[in-house]
Amino acid sequence: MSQVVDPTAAVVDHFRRWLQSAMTGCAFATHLSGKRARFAIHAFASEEPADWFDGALESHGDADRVVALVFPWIADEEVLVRYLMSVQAQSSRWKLHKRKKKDDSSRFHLGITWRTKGGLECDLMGFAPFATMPVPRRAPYVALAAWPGGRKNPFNEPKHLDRVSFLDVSHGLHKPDYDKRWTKTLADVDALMRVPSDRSLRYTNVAFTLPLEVSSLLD
Amino acid sequence: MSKPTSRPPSGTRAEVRVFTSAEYRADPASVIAHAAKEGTAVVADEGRTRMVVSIPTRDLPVSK
Repeated sequence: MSQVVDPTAAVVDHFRRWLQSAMTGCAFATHLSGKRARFAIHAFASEEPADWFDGALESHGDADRVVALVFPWIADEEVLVRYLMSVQAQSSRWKLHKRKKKDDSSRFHLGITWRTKGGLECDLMGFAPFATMPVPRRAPYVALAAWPGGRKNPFNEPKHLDRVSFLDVSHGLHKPDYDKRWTKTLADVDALMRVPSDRSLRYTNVAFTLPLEVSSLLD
Repeated sequence: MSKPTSRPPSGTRAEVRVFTSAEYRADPASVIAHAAKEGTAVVADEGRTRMVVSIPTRDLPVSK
């Protein structure tokens, strides 16, 4: 029997299946996105204020849960940047950062951080169906993903004491399995970035790569 | 948190609890706790969905 589902709920299901299907090349995303109680997805039918995201990120951080915020109504880069600027203006916990990449001046690299309850700067990861995005992050919808839960990865030595990122995710894996997933992730992401020629290190602390034209919106 | 006051949006599965945006903004943790327990929570006003939250309540089979 077919079941009619709310369109926004269908977006949630689609995005979770996309993550689970290893489209990002990340073996940890594939693993965690389908784990019980470990990965929340929020889909928004329209523009919502920043406190909706602050409340979600804080709650999921307290629960040691990865969270993705999905915005299916954002269809182009300018709308995305203007909306992110509006979120930054509403909440002091959000910061947009123009990132300079010496070996890539053809695109605009935008970093996004959110300040956790513990005062750490949490690096957000962006996804979008735009051609300027790196292939592993070309998702069916615009989305932001975060690990707002502090440093919970026993196998990661933090390089910056004031920051937290997906490297700090609580994964519950034993070391051999963790290492195996890292090796697979590096190989699979590398394979996805051969055409067009690209490399994952360009995207450290970068949420979105966008056309240069939209960078002036932040000036 | 009060009982939901809005109707489920058209097409939403009947068992999914619907919260108002005022309820979510007042206490997002309660809405998220409901999603963690039941798998889904919806925030809607006057039948219009504004947000859907999904948290697996069991390990999902890996997609092929």
